[in-house]
Amino acid sequence: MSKEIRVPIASDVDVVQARQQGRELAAESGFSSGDQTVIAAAISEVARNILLYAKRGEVSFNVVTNGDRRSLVIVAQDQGPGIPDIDRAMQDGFSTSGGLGLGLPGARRLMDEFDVKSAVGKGTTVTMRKWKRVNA
Amino acid sequence: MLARSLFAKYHGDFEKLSRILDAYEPAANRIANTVAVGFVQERERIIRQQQEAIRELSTPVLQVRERLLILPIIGVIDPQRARQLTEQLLRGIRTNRAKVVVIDITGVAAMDSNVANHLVQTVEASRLLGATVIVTGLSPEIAQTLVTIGVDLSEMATVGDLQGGIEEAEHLLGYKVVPLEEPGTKA
Amino acid sequence: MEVPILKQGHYLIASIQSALTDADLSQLRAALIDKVGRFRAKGVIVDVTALDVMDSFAVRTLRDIAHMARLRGAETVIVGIQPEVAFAMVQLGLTLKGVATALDLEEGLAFLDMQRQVRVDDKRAQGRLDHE
Repeated sequence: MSKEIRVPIASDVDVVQARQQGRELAAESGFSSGDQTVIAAAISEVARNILLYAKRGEVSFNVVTNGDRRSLVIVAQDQGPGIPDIDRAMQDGFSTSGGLGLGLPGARRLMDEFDVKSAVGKGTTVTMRKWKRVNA
Repeated sequence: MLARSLFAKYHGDFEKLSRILDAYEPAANRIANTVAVGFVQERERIIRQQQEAIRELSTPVLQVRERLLILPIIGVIDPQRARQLTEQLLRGIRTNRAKVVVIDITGVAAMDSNVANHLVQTVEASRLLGATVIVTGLSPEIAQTLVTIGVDLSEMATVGDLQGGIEEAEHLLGYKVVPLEEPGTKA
Repeated sequence: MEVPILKQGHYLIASIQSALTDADLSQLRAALIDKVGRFRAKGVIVDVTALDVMDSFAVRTLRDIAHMARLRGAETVIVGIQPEVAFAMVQLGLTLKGVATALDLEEGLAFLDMQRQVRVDDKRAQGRLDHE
């Protein structure tokens, strides 16, 4: 049983839209209020990355339920320039656009599962998953 | 029981017994497995619920004075309990408008780096809500763990024991504890 | 969505009412810096009670505001960070280090008053008191 929502990202209004929709979906799916906030923050980070580096892309949400195990999967996808050195991008404090640069490493810390696939010139796909706590 | 009666019936014909057992064994295993898994899942669910209830009871956030909260932590802390503690504490800070929190970890046996990290996060999150945190009851082992994960202990206010921590907190809040005069003596 | 900025005595109070886009945040930063200069404010309070998410851009902007305000002689306090937002922030690694935070508007004002008093006392101790 799964449910999918897709949000196109082309402006900073879309970033807000994406995190609000993600939060709502998490709320409907029974995630705790604290987890909703964490999910919204992670979505905000990856959606903004799309905007900053690829100018446009898409964030999709999927709730996967298996018995009493439920998770929210977030996929942020773009056809942008790609990340040349993923390992370096995943290190704290690294960013080519200046500032704190906490986008990817920060989002990873918030989520239970995290994966980045990227090819220079082709694009980037970030997949993240948050499990609903059984007693939440 | 079934196996025994099979032996009794077919002990004379080893070939037949062998074939019957070949059929019987996987079926029996599957049955046993299904029952076992179902049983274990249900038990685990009940245990989780009970653990949750125990966690709630054993992590009280106490308001001792106005604007002062104490969080005594006892026992083993797993990541889930740590998270719950932090959430309760932060909500408590907001509800009680606490300016100082004393987290006492005298009763904590050991702390791995994950939980130590969590403690640091709790201190930082409390600060974002405008509260100062004093950690008391740090054992040498736990202090070592904190240093190992890169915590700058000079950044974290620590006091030896809970009593000292409360006094420090009162000092920060501007309280002064004065012994009561004996009745009949001049004030 | 423009954030309303009120002047209260020597302080500026910016009350965020709803979710802000990155552009809104940048606009808020520009507006505050402009007003701090124009009104020679001594303190800035940014009330984020209504924000249910604070990500790295929001934190960066708040730090910039605090930094730039200080260059112009004003202290900044961020107030109203929600418990869950605070928790998400520290997990994200955003600590707002070097920026004062308080529970709410009342606490924020008390903090600014205390800060100003400290500065006045310092100057008195140094034997000089500029026109306040």
